[in-house]
Amino acid sequence: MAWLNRYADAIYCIVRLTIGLMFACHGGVTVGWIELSCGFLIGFGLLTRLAAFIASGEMAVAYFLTSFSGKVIGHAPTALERFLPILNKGELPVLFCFIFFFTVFYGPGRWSIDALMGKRSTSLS
Amino acid sequence: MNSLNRFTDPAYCLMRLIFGLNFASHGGQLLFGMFGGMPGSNSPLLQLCGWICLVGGFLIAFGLLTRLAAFVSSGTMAVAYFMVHAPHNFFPIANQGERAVFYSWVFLFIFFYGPGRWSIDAMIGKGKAAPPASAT
Repeated sequence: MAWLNRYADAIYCIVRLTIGLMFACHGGVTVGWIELSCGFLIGFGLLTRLAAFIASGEMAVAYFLTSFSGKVIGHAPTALERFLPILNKGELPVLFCFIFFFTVFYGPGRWSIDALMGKRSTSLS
Repeated sequence: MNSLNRFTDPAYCLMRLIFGLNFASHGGQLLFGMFGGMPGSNSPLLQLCGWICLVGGFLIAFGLLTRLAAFVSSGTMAVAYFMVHAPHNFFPIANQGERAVFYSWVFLFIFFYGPGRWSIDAMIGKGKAAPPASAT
């Protein structure tokens, strides 16, 4: 099945676009400038690693400030509710945090403004 | 910044673990009513979805039969998105289907990327399932 890896980078770029734009939507709803700008930067692959680093850190902070501390569910969380994102309604920040953490290390991929601008593409194949 | 690419594969495996476990917890919610349960989860379709979430989530998290599990899970989430969420609104943020979009796309990427180095597949295969050399 290793032949599938030929297409991993292309799929990665589509995933980056989708998730970046979804992240930007959050900025549009709550007027969060980090979400809005980093979402578009990640989506189109401009300064990808930097934007992803900031976005990932912001989501980690958001998770611990709101979900982990029980602000989202509106009462003091039990130990289980602290630990499980599905219970403290913090699943989405966790997923954003880890996908952007991966983006920091993976880089922009071949279909990105970074790659167009002549920085060496970080493609897989 | 290309020096960061050395750590791509460990970061990938960490992400796979977190996504898999979160996905599996939805399986527990649908099948066993854990975590408060979900209304209407005793319909056959949602039970099937629950088994796919639970089994697929753990397989992806620990990297056993990763590509197969990721393919099935990705397809399930795509169906869930278009059956349940998409009729309500075009935008994922408004139709509550963001997590379905998330899982669907990320599992599609996992299907293509493979198990990575920290996985049961890599332990069994000893190099066969190793990441592509240029990624490191």
